[in-house]
Amino acid sequence: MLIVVLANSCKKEDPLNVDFSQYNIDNPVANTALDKWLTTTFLDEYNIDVIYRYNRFYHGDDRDVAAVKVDKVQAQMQTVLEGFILPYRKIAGTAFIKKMVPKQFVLFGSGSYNPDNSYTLATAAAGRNITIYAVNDFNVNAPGDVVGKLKTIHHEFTHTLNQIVPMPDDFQLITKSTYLATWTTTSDATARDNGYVTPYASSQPGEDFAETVSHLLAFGQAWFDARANSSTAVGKAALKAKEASVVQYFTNMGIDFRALQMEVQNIVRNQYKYQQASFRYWMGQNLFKTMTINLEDGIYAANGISSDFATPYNTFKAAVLAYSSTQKYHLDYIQLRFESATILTVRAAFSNATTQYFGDYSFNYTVNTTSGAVTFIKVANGTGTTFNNGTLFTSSFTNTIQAYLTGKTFVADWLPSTITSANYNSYGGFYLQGTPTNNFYGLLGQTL
Amino acid sequence: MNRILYLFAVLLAFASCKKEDKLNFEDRPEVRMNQAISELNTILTSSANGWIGTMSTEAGGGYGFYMAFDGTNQVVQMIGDMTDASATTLAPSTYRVKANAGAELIFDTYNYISLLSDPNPASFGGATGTGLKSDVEFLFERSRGDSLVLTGKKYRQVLKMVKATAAQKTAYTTGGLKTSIDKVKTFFITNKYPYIDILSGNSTIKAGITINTTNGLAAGKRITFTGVQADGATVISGVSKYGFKVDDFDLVGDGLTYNGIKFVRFAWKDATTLVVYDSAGKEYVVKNSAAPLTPLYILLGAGYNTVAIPNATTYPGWSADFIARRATAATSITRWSITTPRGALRLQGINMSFNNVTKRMVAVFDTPDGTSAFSLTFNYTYTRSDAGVFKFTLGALGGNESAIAGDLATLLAQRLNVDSFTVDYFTNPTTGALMAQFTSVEHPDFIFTGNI
Repeated sequence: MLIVVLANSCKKEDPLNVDFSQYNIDNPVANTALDKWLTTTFLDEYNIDVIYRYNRFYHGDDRDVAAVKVDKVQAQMQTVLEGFILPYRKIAGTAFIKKMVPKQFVLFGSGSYNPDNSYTLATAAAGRNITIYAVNDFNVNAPGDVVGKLKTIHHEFTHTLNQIVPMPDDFQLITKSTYLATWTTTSDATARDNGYVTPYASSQPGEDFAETVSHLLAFGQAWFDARANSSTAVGKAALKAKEASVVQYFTNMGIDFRALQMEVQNIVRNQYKYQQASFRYWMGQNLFKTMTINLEDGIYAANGISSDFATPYNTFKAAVLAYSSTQKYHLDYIQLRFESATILTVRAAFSNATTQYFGDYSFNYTVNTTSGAVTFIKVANGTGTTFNNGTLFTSSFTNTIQAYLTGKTFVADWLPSTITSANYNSYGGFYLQGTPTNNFYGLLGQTL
Repeated sequence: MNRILYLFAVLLAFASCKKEDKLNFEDRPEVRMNQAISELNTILTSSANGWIGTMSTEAGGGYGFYMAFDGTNQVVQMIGDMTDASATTLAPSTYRVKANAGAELIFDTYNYISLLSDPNPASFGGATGTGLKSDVEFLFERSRGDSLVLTGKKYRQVLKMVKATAAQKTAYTTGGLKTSIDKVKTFFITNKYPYIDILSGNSTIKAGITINTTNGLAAGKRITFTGVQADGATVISGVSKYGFKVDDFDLVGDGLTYNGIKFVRFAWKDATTLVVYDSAGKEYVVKNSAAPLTPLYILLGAGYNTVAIPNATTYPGWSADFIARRATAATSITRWSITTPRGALRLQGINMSFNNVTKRMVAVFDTPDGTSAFSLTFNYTYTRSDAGVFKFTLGALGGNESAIAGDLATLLAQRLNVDSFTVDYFTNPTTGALMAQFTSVEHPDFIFTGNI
């Protein structure tokens, strides 16, 4: 009995106290200009830790991923700042972005290769981490690269938002029947016709939502509309429904998605000079079929119109009115109708007290998608009622609108520059090459 | 009995109740961990002139480096033997030491060593997703005197480093590594058939040396010894990966084993004499043979496994008879087409693969159909006389082969299937490439060559 008691009374050794504040410290020296910039720009301002020095833990043991090239870090993070954080900060507010922005950005040099040899460009985790891969491929002088990376970051941040505010249920039902996990075998055309922005989007609703948001923000509305227009009727409807769902999701969070889109697009268009976000590019693609100009519209009072255009417009308007003292035709608008990549019909819409009539005039036009140079050439009018209507005002049209349009080289651009977010995606115009103050612009339409 | 029990109890009390105030190891874990980190940091910065390192990759060849560590800023300056640029331009990147099953050196931003593990083939070749299978994290193994040994964390390849001298540092930082590499390359270009003599029992055998200085995955940065054993018939070979250094080059990993001897290092004995050392320190001078050392017939199927007859209407080393017979066959097969409208079969290259163990030869005629690949495969067994005369015997034919064999009769039924052939080396006068040249014994005017 005594033995048992004695044996039991022997206490085991106390647990060893380890000072974890000193245990396996991994605190790299951070004394370069880059480290200081990262600290002041991201850590101090947003509490974001930018980790660019290799740590296997962040990509997982099963992959081989290369470390980042130091000289790529600042360019990549500058894009994150100006193309992602600052637009959100301006539109969604400082409090929102400081709260929502992932607190950890991890950068790797190469992609993270999947077993099928595709590679992951970025991942988002737990609402607090974004890992960006393939940073070594980042070429700050290649707008396509920069915008591609920016798209990826918006994609991942959308995941982050979804991890905090779940994505809308209705979005997941729009193309519920065509999600397919093995997306790498889905062609781009199939994905498009099924109503997806990319094959990857067709893998599952979460990726679809993130892809839709990131394409709307980084590639812009024109890209999205062109995608929808080239899809099937069902696919187009699905894409437009997804767009609406995305806008609503942001509205529910108190964010004006159109304003955000404009902020991001201003960077993409003006700073990165991304060709596929330019008006000239989409003119060359014949995305926009009509440009409608009605100088009585409030948009012109708000943003101004150059007198070089307003004078012939108003002279023509007066001539239309003067044509008949009984009918008192009113010029409702001038519409440039881009029938094809070369054929333009200029339409004058005029009305009496009860009926609106169209008077048409035939032109050819050319667009240089690189320089944006546009020329208009008058050709013999077509035939039919609208052309007959046009002949009523031929002499006045010839001396005013036609005289203004022809014999010059214009440049296609997103005009006016003072446009507000509500109309950001729907106005474009032309200015006289070398004289940007001589310009006109109008409401864009994508159907004739 | 009771007394014994009491005594036992008292003993037990003393023995078991001793408080364990001593640690199993000398210090607390965090202290020891920091000691390990600081130990490796100290070693890395202890070499005033930096380090010369060599290492192997798991999937690719071996590589050589120069590294100088700046502990204050955690910056390493590196030279590597991957490319001309990496061999001449000192490049900085960061590193740090972390504890992880001992101290671990991490090259934590991109430098030349990262090329080896880069999974993007556009960076440095290698396989998609894994590159050459190498590491940027190295576990500290040991350090003794001037040497430091680390092991790659994932692929377990050993990085061996030795302290550089001031002269070596100067050489590395002024383009010396490229000079060293170029010297070796030039040596092996000038000396077309390099070999060393090895004493094997009572006889001297030769080991022909071939060096691959490319960065290819399967064969790059490797050196191969090939030769015939003392019996004059058995082909043996050994291969090792190597890494260039500023004044010699090391066979990495376990070295190169050939005829039971382990070779570890090449070095310059004087300005023009290259020597190789075995693990016992014995020196072997690399000599040059006027012609290939080993008769080609011995190596066919046992070193050289394929003879690729080029896709050409005429080629160096082809006789007029072969050219005419090939042209006849090429014309004849155009009457075949697998599917219209892709077009007629076109005779392109002919690939002969030899296996001297099974004594089989497979001749594959590349005959694309329009743009689609299509080929005809003829299986042969063969005998080889001691004098090196080959006699091929055609095996069973597949359906396509059976149908089309008649069109290839000028090459096959009238020659390859019935004649005997001798084979010898042939040097392409245009490219300098070493080729195999077959000559029919029965029809000495039927001669053709192929790349080996």
